[in-house]
Amino acid sequence: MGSKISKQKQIFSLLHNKYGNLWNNSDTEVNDLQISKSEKFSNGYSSHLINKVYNFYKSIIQSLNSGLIALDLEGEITFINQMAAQMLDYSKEELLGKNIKEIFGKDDTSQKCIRAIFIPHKHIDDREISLKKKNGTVISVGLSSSQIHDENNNFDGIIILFRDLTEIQHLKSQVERMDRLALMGELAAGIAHEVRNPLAGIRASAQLLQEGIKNEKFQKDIVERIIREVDKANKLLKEFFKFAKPSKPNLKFHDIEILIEGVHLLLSPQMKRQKVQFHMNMGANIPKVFVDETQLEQVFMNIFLNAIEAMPEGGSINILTSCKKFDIMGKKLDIEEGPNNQLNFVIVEISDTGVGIAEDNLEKIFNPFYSSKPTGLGLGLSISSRLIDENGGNIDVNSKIGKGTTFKIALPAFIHH
Amino acid sequence: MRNTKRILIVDDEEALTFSLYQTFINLPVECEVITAASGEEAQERIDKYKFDIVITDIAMPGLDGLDLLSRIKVKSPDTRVIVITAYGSDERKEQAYKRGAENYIEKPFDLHQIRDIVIKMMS
Repeated sequence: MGSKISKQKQIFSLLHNKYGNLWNNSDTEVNDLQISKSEKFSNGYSSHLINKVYNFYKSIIQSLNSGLIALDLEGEITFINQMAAQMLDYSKEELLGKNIKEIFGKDDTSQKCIRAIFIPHKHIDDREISLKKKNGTVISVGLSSSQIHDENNNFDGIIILFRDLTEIQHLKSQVERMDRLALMGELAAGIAHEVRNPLAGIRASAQLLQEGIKNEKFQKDIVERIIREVDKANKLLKEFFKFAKPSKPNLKFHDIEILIEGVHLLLSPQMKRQKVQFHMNMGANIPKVFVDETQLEQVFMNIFLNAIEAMPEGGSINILTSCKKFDIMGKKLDIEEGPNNQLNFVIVEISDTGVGIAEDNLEKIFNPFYSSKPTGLGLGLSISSRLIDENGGNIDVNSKIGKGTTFKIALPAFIHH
Repeated sequence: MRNTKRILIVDDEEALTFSLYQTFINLPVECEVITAASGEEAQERIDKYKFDIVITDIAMPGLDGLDLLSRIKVKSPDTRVIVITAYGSDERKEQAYKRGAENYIEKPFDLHQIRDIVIKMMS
């Protein structure tokens, strides 16, 4: 098998040296290259074998289920396979010689991608972009690119490979819709439960009054209970609206240490009472974060309060900050714009030494109305997650039963060089 | 032979517990009414007394109403249990009946309705 491959490699190398660009034309048959059947190459391979190898590779490329296009350094299309032409609704002849820029979508991601593929040594890996079909409609594709080098290892051209994502996106949007519906169902059930409880108290109290209680003090007592229940229902709805529609963040540069310290000060009497120690370990050169101060304070307050409650016997809250440039917790960031516009993130890790969260419950903790605490509404972390999102950040959690919980929050910070 | 009927009300909604308490102490039948604000509190009462009727919420701090129901049925199978809940799901209703609840009432409910059910149970 190994010797077969090395033979094929030699033949390709021979063909390339002898016939150059003709080799790139997929429609070229070996016979078009004017090799007579009897012609023998210097090393003795017959044109029959060459034809066989040529057809073998040609059929692989042409039967690929993905579009394949080769470009020269100016972006001119020098080769296109059948699937690429079919996906774009062109004939292969119409595309050959066209500049790739003409078929790339005008959106930011596609335009960034087209610039990136011409950067030497840059490989694009399954980037979601859009391509324009002949009739102007746009299709979404997952595109990868790699570079071709000549025998002297000079950058000589680009190969792009892409697959149609229309069906995948359709399925994805269906799944997202189902998820949204499921979440809406959960939310509706949560709200119904939280509102029906005080309603039950109000109704029952009102019925007692209706039955004509004579004792004035007793009447007053019942009315007070009704008022308390109404306030309780209202508080729940207010909290819920904070989750559903948080106010627009007022983004400014803030020192993360000062922000966290402010929340710590507010909670320090409670921490002292519950024997919770607080340690902050700031990384070197932490830039200012670009966030809404009040919203971030609310997030830290929620997390610290949860941590305190998770340590009924006391323990410690440890804060660790660091700065990262990209790709945190699955969130891919485009950093091709150059150093002046690089997006940076300040990472704040908040760990406690509390009871921890079971693995099964970890994915639910950001869901509204999920609470492991008997008296909790289950809105604190869902609001926190929503606020972090609104502030352009990301929040993630790790936990081990009996060891503690760590929240990792990424917050946007811009460094100007 | 004990003539006074003993009722336990288990709910963390104070206004509701209070109203139910007032309703049951004024029943034409002689009743001893005890309340609990959590599953654990209810467990303590059950360990101490035998109840004729238990009215319990489902979602409560600590031990929830369905688990409490199962424990009651193990300890005292002839105690009759009414589940009151703000969850309107068929699944919970089914679970409650499976574990031996006699009635399942969704909140908010009519005090007269629950009073009639309790009187009927005691007769």
